[in-house]
Formats: sequence, C-alpha cells, structure tokens
Amino acid sequence: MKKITYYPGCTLHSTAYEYGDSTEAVLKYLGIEWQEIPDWNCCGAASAKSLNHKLSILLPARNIKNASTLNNDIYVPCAGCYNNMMKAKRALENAEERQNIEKSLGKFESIPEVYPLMRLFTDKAILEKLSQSKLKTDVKVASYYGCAFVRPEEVLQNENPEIPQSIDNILNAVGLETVEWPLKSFCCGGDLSLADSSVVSVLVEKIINYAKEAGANAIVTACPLCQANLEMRQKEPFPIFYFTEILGIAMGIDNEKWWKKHLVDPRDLVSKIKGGK
Amino acid sequence: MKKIGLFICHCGSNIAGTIDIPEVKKFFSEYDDIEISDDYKYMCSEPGQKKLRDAIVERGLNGVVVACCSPRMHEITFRNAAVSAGLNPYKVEIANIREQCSWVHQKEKDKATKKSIDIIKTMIEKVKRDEALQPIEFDITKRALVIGGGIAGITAAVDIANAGYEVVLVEKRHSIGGKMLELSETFPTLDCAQCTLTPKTVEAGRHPKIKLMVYSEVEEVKGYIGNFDVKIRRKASYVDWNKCTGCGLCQEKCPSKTESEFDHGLGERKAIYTLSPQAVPNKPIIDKNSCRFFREGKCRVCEKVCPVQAINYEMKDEVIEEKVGAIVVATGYEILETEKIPEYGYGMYKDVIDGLQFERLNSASGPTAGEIRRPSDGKVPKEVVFIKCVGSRDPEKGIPYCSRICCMYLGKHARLYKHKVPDGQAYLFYMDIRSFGKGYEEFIQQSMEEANLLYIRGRVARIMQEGDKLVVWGVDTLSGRKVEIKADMVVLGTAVVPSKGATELAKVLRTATDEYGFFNEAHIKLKPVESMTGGIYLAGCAQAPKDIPDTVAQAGAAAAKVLSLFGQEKMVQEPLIACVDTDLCSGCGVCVTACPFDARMLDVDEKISIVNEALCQGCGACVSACPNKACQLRNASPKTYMAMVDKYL
Amino acid sequence: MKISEINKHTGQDILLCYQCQKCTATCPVSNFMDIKPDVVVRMSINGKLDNLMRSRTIWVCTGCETCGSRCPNLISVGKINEFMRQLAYENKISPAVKPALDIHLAFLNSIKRFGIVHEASMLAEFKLRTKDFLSDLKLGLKMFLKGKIPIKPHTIKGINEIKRIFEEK
Repeated sequence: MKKITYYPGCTLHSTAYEYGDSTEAVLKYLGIEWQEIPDWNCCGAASAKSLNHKLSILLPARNIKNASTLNNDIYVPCAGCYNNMMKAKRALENAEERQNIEKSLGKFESIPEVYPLMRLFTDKAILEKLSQSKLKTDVKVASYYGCAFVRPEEVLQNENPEIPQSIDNILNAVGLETVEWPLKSFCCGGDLSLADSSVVSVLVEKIINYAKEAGANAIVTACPLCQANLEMRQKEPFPIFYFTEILGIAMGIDNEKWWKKHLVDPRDLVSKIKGGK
Repeated sequence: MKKIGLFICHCGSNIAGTIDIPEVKKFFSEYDDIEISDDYKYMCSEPGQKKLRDAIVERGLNGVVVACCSPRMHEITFRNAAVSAGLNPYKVEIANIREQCSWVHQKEKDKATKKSIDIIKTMIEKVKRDEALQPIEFDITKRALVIGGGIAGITAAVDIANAGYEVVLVEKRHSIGGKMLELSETFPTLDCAQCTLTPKTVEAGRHPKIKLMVYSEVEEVKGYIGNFDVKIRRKASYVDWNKCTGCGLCQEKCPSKTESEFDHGLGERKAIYTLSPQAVPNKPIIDKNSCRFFREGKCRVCEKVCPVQAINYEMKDEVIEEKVGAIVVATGYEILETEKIPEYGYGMYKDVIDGLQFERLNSASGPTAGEIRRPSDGKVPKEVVFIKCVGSRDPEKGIPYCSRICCMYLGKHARLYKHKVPDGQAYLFYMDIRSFGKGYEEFIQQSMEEANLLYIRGRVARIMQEGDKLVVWGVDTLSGRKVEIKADMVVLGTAVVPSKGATELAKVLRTATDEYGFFNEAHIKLKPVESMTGGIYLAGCAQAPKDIPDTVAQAGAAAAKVLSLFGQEKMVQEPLIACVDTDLCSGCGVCVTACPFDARMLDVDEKISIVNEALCQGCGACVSACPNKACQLRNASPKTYMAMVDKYL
Repeated sequence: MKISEINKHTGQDILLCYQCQKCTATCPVSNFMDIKPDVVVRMSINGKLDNLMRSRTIWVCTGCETCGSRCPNLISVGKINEFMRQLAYENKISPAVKPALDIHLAFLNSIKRFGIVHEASMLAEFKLRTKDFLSDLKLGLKMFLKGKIPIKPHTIKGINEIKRIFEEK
C-alpha cells in the first residue's frame, strides 16, 4: 500500500473544504495511506514573497523540515502551496542557502520529494485503478491548471506549461472527456481578487468564454484560488469542480456536502455526469 | 660550430613601443653561437626578408631565430626565405616576443625587455638542436567524394568534374536537388526554384565524370588527405534501376498512400514513389513502412504492372567501397522541430504551418498545385500572419543564433501570397529585418511599398484556435500596444538547424562539429571552407545557415580547394611529426590507443610501434603517453625542451 | 542599485533583454499596468527603481510567470516586480494599489498570530485597513453562510517558532 505525506494548506480546511474532503475520500477509496505534516503552518501564500523574501522561504521550509521525519514524499493539493514549497526545496538544495535556512530552523536530516497532488494519480498503477470506475456521460469539461502548478518551469520541472496534461489524463481515465483549449495555464488573476476585483473579472470572463467555446460544460481545476476566483468573479452560472470531486463521482463516493459548498451550484451537472440526461 | 643569426622585429611600434630593442640587440651581439644580432622595423617586409637571406649567404648561417610575432603569422614566411638562401627551413625558429611579451606587458617595459631576452635565449637553444628535415611526400588519389546532393553538393561536384576529375556524389534521398527542389520561388528575384535548379541536377545526373549514388549513406571513412577509403551503403530500393525506365506505371497503380515527406505532410504519396516530377534520377523506391506487400504479405501490384520486371522484393542493401583523395561535406539543414515552441500551437492547429510547408503550398508541383489554400478546410486564407525568429535568437527554447534566411524568405512568402491573393492581408511580426545580401534591402522595401505588407515589430506571445480563426496575440513595440489579429493561417519562420545525422557523420569523418551540430571550419575567417581535418571541405548549410547565393559561392570555393589539392603532383606533409626511438620502444601499444588520428600501429614482426607519416598531425598525444619516452616529436625531443627550460631558469 | 544586484536577487540576467516585448504581449494583466513589462526591464537596467516602486505595475502583477516561461532570454519580469514590491515595502513607499499591500499585511499578521491563516479575522483586518466595508460584502456573507469561513481560529503548536521567524531580518 502506498504511503504519502500530505500538506493540505490552509484553504483545504476552510474555503476549499470540498477539495480537502473529496481528496481524503478518494485517497481512502484507493487505499492510499496519508499523514499530514506534523504541526504544519501556512506557506505564506502570495503575501510572504510580496513583502519579505526570507520569510517566503522559511515558512515552507519549516513544513519541509517537519515532513522529513515521516520519510515519505510530500503531495500538495494547492498550487500556491506547491509552488512555494518547491522554491524552498530548491533553496535547500543550494549549500549556501541551506546553511542560512538551518541557522533559523535547525538542521535538516533529509529533504523529501515534493509533488503536486495530481502526480499521485498519474502514476501508472493508480491510473489503471482509476480506469476501473468509468463514467458514462456526454458531458465534456475543460481542465484548468492555472499558473502555480506549471511555472516557473525551471523551478518546478513539473509539466509543460503551455500544454499541461495531468488533469486531462486523470479525468480521461475515469471516462470523462476533456476538451482541447488554449487557456489551460492562463492566469485567473490570483490574489488580486480582493485588491482589484475588476482585473480578475476580465480574466475570468476570458477563461470561461474560451472553455465554453471549446464545448465544455464545466471547468475542472486543482487550485483552490483558481476555483474561488472562477466561481466568485463569473457572470452566468458555470460550474467549477475540483478534479477530486469528479473522481469521487466516478467512484460513487461523492457527498452532497461538497456540492453545497460551491458558490455556483453544480448539482444539475453532477447528475448529468452520473449518467442522467 | 654553430652560426646562428638573430633578427629582432620592431613590428612598427607593436614590439619596439614596449621592448628596448637596442638593448636586446646589444645583449645578443656577444652571445655564444650568435654570428649576427640584427633588427629591422618590419622583418616580414621584403627588405626585412632580404636582410635574413643575405646574412645566411654572406655569413654562412646554419640557424636562424626571428624574434617577432606568433609563429602562426610568419613562420612560413621566414622559412621560405631561408630555403631561397639555401638553408633548411626547419632550422628557422620564431621567438614570439609580441603576443606573448610586448602586447601583454605594455605597462612594464623593463620587465618586458628582460622577458624578451629570456624567450630568445630558449629559442636559440632549440635552433642549436634542430635537425634539417625534409618534407614528406606521398601520392594523391585524384577522385573526390561529395556527401549531399543539394544545391551545395551538386555545385561542388559539377565544378570538380568539369575540371576533369571523377566525383562520387552520395545522396541520402533517392533523387538529388535537396531542399531547393522543394522551394517554390526564391528571393530576391522571385524566379522559380526548379527552373534554376533543374539544369544543374540534369547536368550532375548526366555528367560522365560524376558517379551518382542516391539512396545511399557514407558508413565508414578510413585514411587521410589524398587517400581516403570510403564505405557507402546503398539502401535497397526494391526496384532494379538498371531495368527501370521511369515510366511511372507502378506509382500510378500502387494502392497504398501515405503522407508525403517532400510535401512536408501536406500532401500524399504512394508506397512506391519518385521524390518529385523532376526527379534525377527518375527512379522509384518502395517504402517498406507503407507498402502493403511488406506489411501484409499481399499485393504485388507494382510487380504485376511493371513492363520491364524491375521490381525485386528480395533486394538487399549493398556496401560499396570507393577510394578518393578529397571529401566535400554538403549535408544541408533541417528546420527546428516547431513543437518546441508550444505557445504557437504547431502540430495542434492545422493552419499553423512552417516556412517549408508554405513553399509546398505555393509550388506548382505541390499539394494544392500552387494555390494558396489552408490545410484545415482548403479555404483561401484572407488574413495571414507570418512570424519571424521562431526558435531563432531564442536561447531558452530554440537556438541562440540568427538563422539568416528567415527574414528574407518570410518577406518573399508574404509577397508571393499577395500575388496570388491580392485582396488578402499579410502581417509580418519581426524583431529586426536582416536584409544583408545583394538586392535584399531593395526587395524588402519594395515588398512594403508595393505589396502592402504590414510589418509589425514585436514577438508573438500566443496563438489560439477560436472557431475557424487563429487568434494571434502579439505586440507592436513601436507603439507599445498589444495587438490581437484573427488570422486564417499562420506561417512560422522556423529556425535552421543542422541536418539529422550530421554529428554522427562528423564522427565517421573524424572531424568536428560545433555545439549545435554544424561542421566546424578550420578558421572562421581565413579557412571557412576547410574542415578541421585535412582533405575534408565544407559547403553550404552543413557549416552554418546560409542562403542560396552564399551556398553556391562556398560550394565553388570547396571545389577550388579540392582542385588545388589535385593540382599537386604529390602530397607534401610537414615533417614535424612523431618518430620512434626503436631502441627504447617495447611495443606496448599505448601510443596506438592514445593517437586520435589512427596514425600509430604495431609492427608485428619487429614488435615495435610505427608511425603512419601521412596521418600523423604532430599533436604529441603519443609522446606524453609513451612510458619509455620512445615516442618523440621531431625537433621537439625532451632533451631539447629540457635544454630550453634550463636556459630560462 | 547596481544591475548585478538586481540580477542576484532575481536570479537572472536582465541585460540579455533585446526588447522583443514578448513579455508585454504575453502578460495577462499588462493592460492594467502603468509601466508595461518590457519597460520594467528597461527601467531596471537604467536604474529607475524609484519609478518602479511607485508604480501600479508591481502590485497588479500576479506573479503568474508566463513572461518568464516565454522569454527567449529567460527573464521573468514577475521576479523583478516581486523584488520591487519587497523594496517598496522595506523603504515604506506608499503603494499605488493600497488594497494590495493591505491584504498582504492582513494575511501575514494572521500567520503571525496563529501560524495558519484564519480567514474571518484576516478579512476583518483587511476591511479595517482599506476602510471599504461594502465591496464583496454579499460574497463574503455567502461564503460565511456556506461554512467556508470557519469562525474559530486554530493556533499551531509551533507558533513561537513562527513568531521568531517573523522577527528575523
């Protein structure tokens, strides 16, 4: 049985509750054992790096240090958390920077690998397992990755930032068709949402229009901030899912609680995905 | 008794401005073994050389040291001068007091003067020990091999053949003409590429001195300048070309179709096919990957229809051996895999095409018979965006160099498009317009003025499909505004890269390529057509991206180099190479593995190592490897060098 | 500030820029910027850092890194903007987009207090700082009612370590 270290980040216990709960449900269904990083803290999101570079490295570095006692790879569902943690990891890989970090946080025994949550499901064995739960529906969705999972490429070395594929592969495995569209990694406006919502509204409108144009009935994402922006700043109701929610539906373990948390009620579409007409 | 002449050059003020020449001259006038210590403003000038010649004759010198610039500059000048005065050239040495002394110590004149004396002292020690050597001579095989049958290879082959020497012209594909045959019309004159090229291909095909070997690849090269042994693999074509008349019936009746490489995926071809209607030679091959018989074991239609029974499914590859004295490498180019710039959607969107694909769209022999129709739905595109520098000047994703031809060919493309679609609009995104050649700037200006091409300075960020349009996000840097164009088709000016297999071929030829895979020239300015290996010359894009005029010029120059080699009666080689002290050699063979030029081998009978004098380049790798100090370089023995160092210390 | 220092802090060589302006063409929010991304690079080279620190641009930049990923010379304008934000904050330069700084300050204060973010108190502080209580009020209420904003804050055990990290310079 696969064991992982899990870093939910602040949002999965609050604004992205449905992402956290569906992730845990899916992990349980697949028999993957997870442990949260002991006494984890906030990674600093966009705020630490905006005002204080050192802080933006030390906050996620503390999480890496706490995780290193568990001896498993870290999987991160939130794009922002993943991005920040990778930057801290790269700093730790540099001898001089590591020394500085250790001056503040003490010695690191080891540095575990850090992956985005999607990577767990694109593992060949798990993809095969996923494909045992097949949806039968003509609903099509647009997979949306945003920025922080794919850029900067030289730091993350995760997937092609222009044509990312992991969410598509996961959804296709459970029989959900994804459309090919150009804005998979276009920016949603990120943390500008509260400071200047007008900018975000323009970007969100563009994203949703392109997704519709490509023939999608919904957008599926893995980033809590993208999901929030897309729901908060859209004009006409267009459902925005987390990919783990779709996996939940395919496995038949979805929960009414999730749908109630959405600002845009997706329940009509959920029943279509389940095979209703 | 040694009688050495020392000649100190001022090199204008290059040396005299830093080094106290009277002081140096005075120091050596009373020095052991120095017969004469003299100086002159420019030793390399005719009066300077005369001083040297006269001194040899009048004073009976048996050694000369010239204290001047690097031996790479004028060693040959002074050695020739010595020969004309009757002194063996290998008894002349250069003491480099310019590059290694005056230039680098301009602010420490006293020290520089002292150092120049030390340098001269060491070279006097060398001259004292130098032996008179004779150049090594050997025969030349006066036949040439040209690798690559594009415009570069054809030009070089025809030039050499016209001088009366035999040429083996090897081409990877099954007819000659290369990339130029795929082009529609060429800049800056807009004349048809085939019309200019086909007289050349026909000439090469019929030339009595040219042995055409198409569908063939060079597999092994042994030997050295003047005497190469080459193995060439002629791939099985499954058609007996001696019988085949080129009637084309097999091609017409063949039931299997596949994507045409010649049309860059825009058109189809049969499994048995000739490359183009103007193919030279006009003979087909069977492509095993698409042939129904080879894949499924059934069909044999071509065999049934062939009126002369030329089809032979049992045919095997053949390896043919040739002896040649010189090789011209003309392997051409490819374009960068445009998928490497994913934001432009090449391979994802059908109507985003590359420059060579546009050539085929525009060509009368192409998939649309020369009409500009876009690949997705065959519509005539009314708004076309041309993008320059796709992959070029892009160190991150593409290549850092400028591909040199894209500015011109995209301008040409846009203009040809306007000729065929007068009501269409062409946009060209550029960073700089590099129109360096003869008539090029005028061509671009004319295009802007008369053809109404819209040039926009800026790089495109992203291309996206929106319905049946391609949305192009760019910027006009001159007004600082973002630009969004809804285009029907996009043409990418993709970077030029070396042809596939160039690096492997370089290994076979034992010559070098640069970091991108282009063949290295021996000197970027003074030896631009010579490769790093003697007897191997370069032509066309194999060396670096270039346009047709430059390619043809370089091919002619490569041919001239071959001819100047063949014009010599015997090959002459510098004698400053390795030799073996047979008393010391134990025949261990370490030198054989150390030698990068295959110049060392073991004499089995004598149980010692010997030197192939034609192959040895005098690099000294064997000298440092030899455990017994049996390997030595002539006139550079350890004893000599120890004496030189002793004098310095 | 020397160019070499900007290069060191941003981990790139801004002198490689040859002004193709692919960054400006690429940037999803360049329409909302007063200084366009290509000019940000130019101004960094010319030492006009004061103009940059006072610009809207550095606060509007979302750090999406599209500029960096498409730049032929691997220059990320986002990294320059990030560095300029840090400098502007250090030098107490009043931000051209004040709410952007307010949200960051409220956010960091929340981390400093609890070790993780407590949205309710964080948003309250943000509203107090901006003195703009009306915008997004409906949205906030909706999120609250959906239970997306927990009322009770949770404090991590290692909060003292977090506080210490915050004090370090």
